[in-house]
Amino acid sequence: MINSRQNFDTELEELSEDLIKMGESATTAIDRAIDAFHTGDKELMKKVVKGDRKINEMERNIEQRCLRLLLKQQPVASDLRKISTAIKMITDIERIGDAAADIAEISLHLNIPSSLGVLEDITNMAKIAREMVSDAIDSYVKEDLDLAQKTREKDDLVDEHFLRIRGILGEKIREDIEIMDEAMDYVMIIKYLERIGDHAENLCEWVEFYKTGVYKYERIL
Amino acid sequence: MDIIKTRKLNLYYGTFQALKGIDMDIAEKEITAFIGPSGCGKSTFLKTLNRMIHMVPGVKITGEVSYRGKDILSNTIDETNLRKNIGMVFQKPNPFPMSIYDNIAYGPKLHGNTNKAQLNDLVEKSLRGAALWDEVKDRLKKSASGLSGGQQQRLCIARALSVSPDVLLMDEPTSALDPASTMKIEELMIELKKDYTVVIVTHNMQQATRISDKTAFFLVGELIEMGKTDDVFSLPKDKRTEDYITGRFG
Repeated sequence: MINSRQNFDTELEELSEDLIKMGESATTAIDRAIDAFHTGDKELMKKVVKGDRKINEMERNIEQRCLRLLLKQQPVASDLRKISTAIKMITDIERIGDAAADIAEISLHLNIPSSLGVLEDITNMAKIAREMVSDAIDSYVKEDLDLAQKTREKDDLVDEHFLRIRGILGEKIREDIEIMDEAMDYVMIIKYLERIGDHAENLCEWVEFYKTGVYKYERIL
Repeated sequence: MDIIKTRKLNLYYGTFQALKGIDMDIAEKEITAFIGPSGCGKSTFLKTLNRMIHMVPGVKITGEVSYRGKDILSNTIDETNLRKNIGMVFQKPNPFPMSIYDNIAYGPKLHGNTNKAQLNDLVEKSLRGAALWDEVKDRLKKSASGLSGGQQQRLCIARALSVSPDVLLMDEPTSALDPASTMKIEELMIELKKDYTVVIVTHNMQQATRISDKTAFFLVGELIEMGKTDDVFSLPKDKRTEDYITGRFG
């Protein structure tokens, strides 16, 4: 006979699986957005924009599952932290999905390849941000605080890229005002990538909370 | 301030050791909840605090238990006076087979108070203290057995209050009550801790989280962990506590 604790464990297991799937969908969206940005593949861009709906739907489903578990199980200790962590993480994952869709949407209007000479830099920046997201999800799966910490630190690298590429684009605009519109689109793209890094950092902070009850150096539960 | 302290408290029922080296400090004017699976020793420990356990034949106790600095395991202790200071409320309401009024006045009379006016005041004060006055003020002379389970339990609390105790020990005081009566008793306990120290044994985890300031987790006669209730239920230090409160065993 299956007891109620086993049922609850199964539910928690399914919650983790759902969260991992949502994380995978978000990283796939970034991969596709960057791939499309790099190759100018308009069809792929549209696919990313459309795919964001699926990520939003996943967020809603996980949210519902968490609220139902809070209601029915009145969880404590690690159970409570796991569920509250999931509620917080899905918000960041959803935003990551939004950012990927926004990058794809902007890319639809861009002439690719561009003459601005920042494509490689942006692709590199995107790779780091994307890796941060998958490592953050991985640190949740493995409950690996070291990985979470290392991933958080990578956000500095993303920020450096942002400042440097923005500097280059500013320079280009000063040289030739005609490229203003195009350059602004690129600035938007790197801003979205920078935000993805921030959200990945948030994910890591919630992983830390899940394991320790500490969020941003403060014990909150 | 800690009002009750135990050190290296061991208790044996014959050859069976029911409590193993319990060190505990119970803070004044707080609610301390004891949790743990059946047979873990929490009720035994509770009953040790006002020597109710001494009524059990064959009990042997070693170690220290002090109440306000006084050794209560000493043979010279006045048990009646100790139980006046440390009152007890049991799992099943046990009103005396007499009127509501007499249930409350019984204790003070036993302790020598026979002044009618004073007794009247005391009955009202105690019933108000137990949030029962409004419900029974018009039928004080009626039998207590006519009250509902929840009212009877509050009557027992009022009875304990009538002798001006310092500490109230409650052994699963709501386990025989419906949710509404349980809620009333819980609200009452929160009220009571303004003036009294409350120690409660409960099997209801939600109850412990709702009302207690400190929680102590017992397992096979040992005190596994004690701390602020918020800490014990959010980030327990011991894996056995975690397993118990999350329902993995027990």
